[in-house]
Formats: sequence, structure tokens, C-alpha cells
Amino acid sequence: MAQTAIEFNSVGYTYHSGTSLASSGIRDVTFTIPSGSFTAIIGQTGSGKSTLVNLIAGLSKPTTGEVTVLGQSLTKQSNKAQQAGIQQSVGYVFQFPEHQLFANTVWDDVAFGPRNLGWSTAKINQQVQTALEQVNFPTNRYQQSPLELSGGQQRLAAIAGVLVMQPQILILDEPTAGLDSGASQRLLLLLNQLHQAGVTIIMITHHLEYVAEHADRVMLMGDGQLQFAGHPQELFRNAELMKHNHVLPPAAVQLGQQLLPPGTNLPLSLNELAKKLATQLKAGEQDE
Amino acid sequence: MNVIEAHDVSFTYPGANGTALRNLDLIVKAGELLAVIGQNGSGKSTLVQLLSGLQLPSTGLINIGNTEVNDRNLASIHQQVGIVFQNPGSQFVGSTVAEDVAFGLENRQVPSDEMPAIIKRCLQVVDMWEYRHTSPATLSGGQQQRVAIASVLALQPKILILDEATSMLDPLARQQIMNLLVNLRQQGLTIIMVTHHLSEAEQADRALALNNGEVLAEGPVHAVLSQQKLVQQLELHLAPGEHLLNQLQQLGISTPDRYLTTEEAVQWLKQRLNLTQ
Ligand SMILES: Nc1ncnc2c1ncn2[C@@H]1O[C@H](COP(=O)(O)OP(=O)(O)OP(=O)(O)O)[C@@H](O)[C@H]1O
Ligand SMILES: Nc1ncnc2c1ncn2[C@@H]1O[C@H](COP(=O)(O)OP(=O)(O)OP(=O)(O)O)[C@@H](O)[C@H]1O
Ligand SMILES: [Mg+2]
Ligand SMILES: [Mg+2]
Repeated sequence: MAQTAIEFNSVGYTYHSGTSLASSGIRDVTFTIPSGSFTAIIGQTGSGKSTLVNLIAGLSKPTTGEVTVLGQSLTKQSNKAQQAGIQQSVGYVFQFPEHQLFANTVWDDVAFGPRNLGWSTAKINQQVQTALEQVNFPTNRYQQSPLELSGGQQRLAAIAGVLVMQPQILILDEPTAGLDSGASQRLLLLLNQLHQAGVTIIMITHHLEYVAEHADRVMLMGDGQLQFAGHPQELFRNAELMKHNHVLPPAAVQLGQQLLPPGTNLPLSLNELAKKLATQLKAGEQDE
Repeated sequence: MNVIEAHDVSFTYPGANGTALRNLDLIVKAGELLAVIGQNGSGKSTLVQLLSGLQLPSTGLINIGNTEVNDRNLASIHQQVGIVFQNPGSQFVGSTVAEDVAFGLENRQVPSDEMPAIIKRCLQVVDMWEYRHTSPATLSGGQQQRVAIASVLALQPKILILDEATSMLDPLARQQIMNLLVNLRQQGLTIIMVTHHLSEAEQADRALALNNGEVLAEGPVHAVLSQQKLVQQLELHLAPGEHLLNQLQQLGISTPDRYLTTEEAVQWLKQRLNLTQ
């Protein structure tokens, strides 16, 4: 049986806990994520997705309950060293890439983490090069300031800075936002490769097509609570639950409802829908 | 009436070795919705910063209405053009959401007794009124983007520019903002929208396609999007209808040559499937 990479036990997180500004981020969240799985986290704006992954990455401590990441536990009572232990074993690409770019050049930014690990210069250079190539970062901009990049280029640089550390757990918060479709497809391909190689991947996204195609598990957040954890197919067939949490069904389902006879088992991908429609259209031509 | 005229505009960032934008000509008419499309790094944000006076052309000329964009006219340009940045965090100034919206109004010397109504209306259209007392820095990504839109709407610009302003929103919220834009255009607002998504671009009147700092195509949105090779080069995220038709074509079904929006694609398929009775 697969080992558990991440476990949440009745976890709650309240921002500004104990003050008049206290506001609940997530409440009573319990789940496990198996080692080596590809988990997508979906949910409406403000539903608690980023709050949840901040806890997985050890950036915040739970207000209630217990978080366990690769065997390291974190509770309200934990100290900074325990938090740092988790932070070091998790790679985290933030929702806003500019929040994690700070060096004078793209190259130095990506090299920052490896330099702290005390690797040899040759190894650092090689790993930085590999990471920038993995995300297809434009080669003529390695020495440019991260502040002088386009939005999409900033995101690629931020992703490279996380990949270079070769984390066992990789969290990405809406990594394709602002990327063109070529860059998005290349990133998803790369995530698939890392997944094949055994990395545990957690990706927040609003694109259910990506979820259907790439994730083996999905968690649905709604109003600060975990509404569903399981197989994407199962969630996407539960129209009620999705609607209740203000999540639109995948495009294939929306179009299938309009185009296929009532009662048809609706395909979850547009490619599958196209196959069904093509069969019908060809049959129609023969009748005429 | 032309609200924007750009003639042979080029722009190089200080100290940069390449030109970010080259020999751009553009005319935007009042009340048009223009989509600006192109790959990462193609010059979209650079262009909209020039159109809003945040950068000045290295060579060439830009007119907004009757005002030339130069360092003497910036106040007038900022008065006419409102821009929502690609990164919403960089535009917050208030310590609460309501103050953030109020800030721009104060700068415009809007009478203070008129402000509460404007603030309320703008926060309500983006569904953020209940967060009016919250600090913008503590909002989720999508909530920040909505407030950024409200703050610019409140200034009632003649030209509204959105630089990937909905990139973090869920599809439902994205649709709501798109509907809002379509409404505002009907009321006469000129809108420029930078996007990587065909599902958004297809709702524009015209499209401007950039590639490596140069204009690749410009024209009525359907004419631009009907050039299949070109659309591929732009690396746009396909709209569901277009994606479906492409797949059908690969499966040997002949599909229309011109670009169909998702709505049009569904209608076309319904007819082919005899579902229209
Ligand atoms: N630093 C903070 N201080 C106080 N409240 C916060 C803070 N960050 C987030 N919140 C609130 O917690 C709730 C959950 O926010 P979170 O950022 O987790 O949402 P999300 O699901 O990631 O949304 P999005 O898709 O818009 O990024 C929201 O209501 C948000 O306003
Ligand atoms: N401040 C700057 N200094 C120097 N070069 C810059 C600066 N800002 C952007 N560039 C460069 O100019 C080119 C155009 O950038 P721009 O931000 O206009 O692209 P974009 O089309 O908006 O891309 P994206 O879709 O990634 O946001 C890019 O190659 C970028 O690296
Ligand atoms: Mg978030
Ligand atoms: Mg940009």
C-alpha cells in the first residue's frame, strides 16, 4: 500500500486568531494524500485553497488539529524549527510569482536555494541550467532582473526556482495562470514526468480539463471546508455537489448536455465528446 | 470617433538590449472592445502601459482622444484611461477595501457625499461589498483581482484596460466579469482586454495579435481568429467550442472554415445533429 505523504487531522486555521480581526480560513479539514499521487485542489475564489496549501508547506501552523507532512507533525504548539523542517521538504510555487522572486538576476534567483545547500559550484550551475531549461525559460534573459520580465516569464522563473531543489512534495498554486497555452502544456507534461518519477504533486487549479486529464485525486474546497476528496470522475459526475459549491462542470459536460441525447453517459473530456459526436454525425450522413 | 490613435510606436525598456514593441499602428474607436492577444513576452503589457501613459513611446506618437501622450499631459491621460494591472497586489493603496476604492476618488476630487454610493455600486458589481472593511492584503488571489477591477471602475474612465485581470478567477466569476464588460461596452465604454483565452477574446469586437513585439494581425475579431495558422502561433487557450470542432475535423468531419464562438459552434452542431426542431 502506498505510504502517506500528508495527513490532516481536524485541521482548522483562523487568520489573526485571538484578535478582533479573526477570520476563518479553513475549518475541520481531515484527509490523507498518498505518497506519489497527483492531487488537484479546486474550489471557488476564497474557498480556502491557498490557506490549505500554506499549511501543507509549513508556512503557517494549524490553529486547531494536527498536520503531518512526511512524518513530521505540526500543531499550534510546534516551534519554528519544526515548521522549518516541513518547509525544507516541500517545494511551493506561490499563487503570485512575484512574491518569491527577489535576487538581482533570474539566474541568481534560481541558484539561491542550491547555494544554501552548499553544493559545489559546478553542480549548482548544472542544476540551475537544467531547471531553467525544464520550464523553457528564454535563454537570452537568464541575466535579466526578475522585475523586468513579463508576467508569464516571472512565473516560469518562480517555478524553476522551486524545481531546482528537487522536492519530494511539489505544491503549485494556479501555476498556469498567466501562461500561454504552449507554456501551460509544457508545464503539465513536466508535472506528469515528475509524477512518474515518484514526486507527490499538489496543484490548485480552476481548469477542470487539467484535473480530468492529469490528476488521480481531487479535493473540492467550499466555504473553508473540504467538500469532497476522491477520484475526479466521481466528483464530476456529482453535478449537485459541484453546483452547491459554485463550481461549473467541465466544458465537455456542459456541451454534452446540449448535444447528446438525454440519459447519455456524458464524457468528461472534449476529445471523448468529439468521438461520440463524430459517430453520430457519420451515422446521420449514411441515413441520408 | 477614434479614442486611441497610435502611429509607428516603438518602445525599448531603459538598458534593455531588445525592442519590446516595434512600429505599432493602432486605431481604437469609441465603444469598442479590443482584445490584445499573443504569447508570453510578446509585448501586450508593454503596449497597454504605453496606452495608459505609464511608459512613454521611445519613438512614434500616441493620442488619447485629443491628447498626445507625453510627460506634460499625463494627468489628463490618467483621467481618461483606467488600467487594472496583471498583478493586483501592486495597485492597492488603501488599508481597507473601501478605502482602496475611495483613494482614487479623492484624487479626482469627487465630492465626498457622492463617494459612498459610488464605492458601494462598484464593490457590488464585482461581488466584494461584504469585504469592504477587510484589508486588501489579506484577500485571496481572486478576491484581490475583483477589488482591483472595482477600484478602477470607480474612477469612471473613458477607456478601461484590463491586463489579464481575471487570470485567478474561477470560471463562474470570470463569466460574471466578462458579462459586466459586455454591459459596460453597450453603455459606450471603450475597453481593451489582454487575454490568453479564446473564450474571452472571441467576445471582443476587434483583436490585435502581437508576436515578439510586432503586430501580427489586427482587425475584426472573427477575421483575425479565423486565420487558423495565426491562432496556433499565438498559443491561445482554446475555447471549448473551437476545441471540439478541431477534434471533429481530425476525426474526418468537415467543419466551417471561419472561427465559431462556443455558442455558434453549439448551434452549428445542433443543426448538423438535427436537434433544432
Ligand atoms: N492573510 C489573510 N488574513 C485574513 N484573511 C485571509 C488571509 N488570507 C486569506 N484570507 C481569507 O481566507 C479565506 C480563504 O482564502 P484563500 O486565500 O485560502 O482562498 P482561495 O481558495 O485560495 O481563493 P482564490 O482562488 O481566490 O485564490 C478568504 O475569505 C480570504 O479572504
Ligand atoms: N521592465 C522591463 N525591463 C526590461 N525588459 C522588460 C521589462 N518588462 C518587460 N520586459 C521585456 O519585454 C518583453 C515584453 O514584455 P511584456 O510584459 O510586454 O509581455 P506580455 O506580452 O505582457 O507577456 P505575458 O503574457 O507573459 O504577460 C518581454 O520579453 C520582457 O522580458
Ligand atoms: Mg488562492
Ligand atoms: Mg503581460
